[in-house]
Amino acid sequence: MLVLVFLSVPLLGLVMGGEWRAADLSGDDVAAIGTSLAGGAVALVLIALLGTPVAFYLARVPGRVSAVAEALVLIPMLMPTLAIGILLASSYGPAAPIGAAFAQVGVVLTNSRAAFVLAALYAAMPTYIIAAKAALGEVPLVFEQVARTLGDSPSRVFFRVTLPLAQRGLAAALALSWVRAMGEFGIVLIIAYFPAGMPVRLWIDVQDLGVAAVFPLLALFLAVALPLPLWLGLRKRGALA
Amino acid sequence: MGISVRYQLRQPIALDVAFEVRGFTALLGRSGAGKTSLLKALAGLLPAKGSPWAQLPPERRPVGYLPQAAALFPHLTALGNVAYPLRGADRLATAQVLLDGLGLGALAGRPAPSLSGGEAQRVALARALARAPELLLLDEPSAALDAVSRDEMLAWLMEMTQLRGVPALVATHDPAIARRAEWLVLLAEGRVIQEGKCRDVFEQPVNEAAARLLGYENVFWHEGRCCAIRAGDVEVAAEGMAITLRAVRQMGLDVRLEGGGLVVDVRGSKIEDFCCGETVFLNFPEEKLKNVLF
Repeated sequence: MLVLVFLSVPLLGLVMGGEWRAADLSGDDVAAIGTSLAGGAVALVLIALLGTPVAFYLARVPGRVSAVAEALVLIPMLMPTLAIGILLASSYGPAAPIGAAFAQVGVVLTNSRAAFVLAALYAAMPTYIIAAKAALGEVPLVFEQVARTLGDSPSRVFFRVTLPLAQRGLAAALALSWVRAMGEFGIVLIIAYFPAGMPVRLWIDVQDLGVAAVFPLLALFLAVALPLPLWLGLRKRGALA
Repeated sequence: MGISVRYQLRQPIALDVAFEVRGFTALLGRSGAGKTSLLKALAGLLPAKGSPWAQLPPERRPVGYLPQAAALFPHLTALGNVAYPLRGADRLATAQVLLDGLGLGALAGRPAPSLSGGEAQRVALARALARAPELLLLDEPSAALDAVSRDEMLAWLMEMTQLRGVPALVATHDPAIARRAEWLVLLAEGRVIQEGKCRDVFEQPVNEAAARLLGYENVFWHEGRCCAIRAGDVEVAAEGMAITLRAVRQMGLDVRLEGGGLVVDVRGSKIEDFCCGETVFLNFPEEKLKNVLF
């Protein structure tokens, strides 16, 4: 019980603290919300499209190559985000080879919307892949085998059997990665400070206006980030139909 | 008309087998003998060399594969499962006709997880038949069923496969199931040790391993020939072959006596009626003795 009370303190702080009477969002706050939502949505689509095949490979293919691949997924997840930000700046910055190559085709990968998406990808894709791997690994192999004998190619089996059976777990994985993408601060601080997303905007507002003044934006931030994973988490647990 | 199978596997178990599938064929082997691996190889789910179909991917092989637990897709209804391999706008109607034809029409709308073990096996067979396979592969189809359901299921499976003229290869470790097959294949030590008409194989096992697979606990030399007889068919008599009891144990309603290399189940006796070291006389009814062809 004490632990639950302890864990609820931030929530109580949200309800009881802050200057709610002067609740007002500045133009910069609104722009930050737009940046976070748009960048997060683009990142989420890319994460699902690119991460799912990797997760499936990790779930289904045993062996050393697969283990190395999983390690490559885990490393950015375990690395401090500030460190990733610095390393990304040295790879995707305008002076770095990759960054320069992208810049030549008009895609600037620092302090741009593309950089925000890039930061979200590095922050959230490993989380998605690891969670999706667990979800896909829970689908018994025998269903896929039977589907093959019923005339389906491996890709058709994936879409007709594996994906439907893993959909709840994959949805939870996406929700987790959404939270990571929305809340990412360390990486965006280095490579996508502008245009500011919600975390950076909150940071700027805290410095300029103080903690109490940022509660409206903070509440909005939490409203965007939390409900989906919370609902999916409870649904997976069986608390909701 | 039968199908000649010649297959070689390396993993997960080394097998080199050649046999015929004729009508309802039982593949009898002990647990771990490679029955499931062989069925999976025939279905294209394990790498193997041989014929038929070894060069084809699973989706192009004309086989219907039923794993042990039926493996109906849990996100679909019974009808959805049967319609799974079908294509075209009328696939659901075709699946319904198939279910009706197998007497399973009432199950069509039921979600797969709500079906009983027997119902799931029947729907799984309907699903496998939907592709009009040239061979059905059934892996321990009655493993999860009680004895009554098992008998009903086997009778139904035989009737349905015979009606449609589809040969079936049924992997089992149970001689009681093998006894019902038209053709019997015995698998041991990575090869086929005997095959033939069910009655012939049961009457004349080729060696001790075959006899034991077929459920004969006793294989021994008797009056100049090698014989096999079930423990329950040996009689304790006033005279006959004398053996000194090495072990006596109660097994439900029976008492199992062991001695002289023989195992004898005596029905209706109590363990107190016998003791180790005691000499008893055994009689082997001629009609129960089977010749073993060494």
